[in-house]
Amino acid sequence: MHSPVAPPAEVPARPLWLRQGHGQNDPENAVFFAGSALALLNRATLSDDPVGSLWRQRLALSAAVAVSALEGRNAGETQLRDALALCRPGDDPGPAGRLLLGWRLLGEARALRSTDWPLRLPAAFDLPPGPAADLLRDLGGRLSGHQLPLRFAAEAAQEVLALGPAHRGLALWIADALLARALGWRAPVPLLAAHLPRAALRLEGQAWLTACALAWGKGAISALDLYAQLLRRAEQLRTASLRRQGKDAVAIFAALQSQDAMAAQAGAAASARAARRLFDRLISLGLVRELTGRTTFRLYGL
Amino acid sequence: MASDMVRGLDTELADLPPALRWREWMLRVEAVLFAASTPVPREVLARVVGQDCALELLLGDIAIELSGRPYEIARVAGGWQLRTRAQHAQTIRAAQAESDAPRELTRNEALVLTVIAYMQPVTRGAISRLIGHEISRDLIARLHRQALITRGPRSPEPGAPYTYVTTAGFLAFFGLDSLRELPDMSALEEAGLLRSATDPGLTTPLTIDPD
Repeated sequence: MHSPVAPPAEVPARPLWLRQGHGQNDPENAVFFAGSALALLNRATLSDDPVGSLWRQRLALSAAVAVSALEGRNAGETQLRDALALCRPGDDPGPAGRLLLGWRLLGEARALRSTDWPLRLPAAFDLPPGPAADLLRDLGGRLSGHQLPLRFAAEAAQEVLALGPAHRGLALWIADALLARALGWRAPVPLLAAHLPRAALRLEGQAWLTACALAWGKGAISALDLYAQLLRRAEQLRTASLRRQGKDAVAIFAALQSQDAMAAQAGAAASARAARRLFDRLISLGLVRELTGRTTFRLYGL
Repeated sequence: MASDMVRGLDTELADLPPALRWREWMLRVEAVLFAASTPVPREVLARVVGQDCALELLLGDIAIELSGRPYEIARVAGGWQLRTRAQHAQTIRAAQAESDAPRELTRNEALVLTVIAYMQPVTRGAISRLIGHEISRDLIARLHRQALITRGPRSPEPGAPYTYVTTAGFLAFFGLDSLRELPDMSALEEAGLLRSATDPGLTTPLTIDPD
């Protein structure tokens, strides 16, 4: 059992200068800013806490929303979540669901297995398999060596971008994956897509690297904030003392701590109605949020 | 007697001798079964025969009459249906392999397919609302059978209807490499051909960014 007061070691305090470092657009500052922010994120990427998987799923969701907006598809959080949450086994999740699955994959360790890239990624981004596959095979074989990790990842992304505007989402995916490889992370963290301004995608060379560095810095800081927030909520849930919490509460609590969203389904021992009652109580205690704003087909998460 | 005169049909046939009456009832029941595409429940068959007619016996007599034919009367899903005998299954499959091969889509099918391609995932109800007339389950089933569409996630509305999405077969049929090659949606919107905002049941359209 976790102690309720121990401050989470994975979330180090941030120096004030790092908080204020956002606006600076000169290359040196941007890279320094990104490097420091990513270093602070290191502990969180190594953590074994189940919240890590929830955290990456949330980041994947914001990345998918950003890419969807970038492509003019404008699928919001609810639509993307629904595409997977309301899909039964054997159903086709559709373009929105495929996109979110692709970004969720980025938060898993197997995203670093680059031999799978040519097979999986074009499908996730609804791209024709041909042109991207060769480049993905090539990029997957590269190692950063002595290169600056940010430059290594940003330049690879630029090569994907050169394939055309349809490949923008894929380029951002590859950038995060190769950054994780260069930094030696166990699994990538979706950081870039949600923080890179749309206009930056037209930049080249040094300006592109600077824009990416700034976005990675911002992404790392807000990811760290999210991580601290989720750890706090998970801790509250773990230490909550519910009287008569019901039969499947242990399984539901575990799922809440590791999954983005879940529906009130019948569990191993209790009915869907019992699960719904438990969620209602958790909401009234402020421990869980309802994520859709609907009165039916509700989805719950930390 | 009014209840016996369903839509002016004389069901009792009191003026016929019993043997001819029985014969007429058999023909009527067979006609109803022949015309139906789904199993016909007992109550429906009872509407075309006299009140004291023993339907089971009647159906038994029809079955005996059909003994030399390639089809039979079968009890299915609480009703009766005319269907081809099992030993002809292979014959029919061979014949359908021809007709199920890529064929021209009707205008209506093409329209529905277009709506699904752009609006996916989308329910049959939402397609009907957009097009302005009811889209039949049969039409959806035809597209499904041709592997142009498949079932997507459930829609979060009462009854949790299925949504439909296009398949790889759809891309192959139209010679597309990916959904991104569909003609630009925003151009269609500007031309006033689409107004998804007026219909809350529709999900946001899939569009391709122009730049």
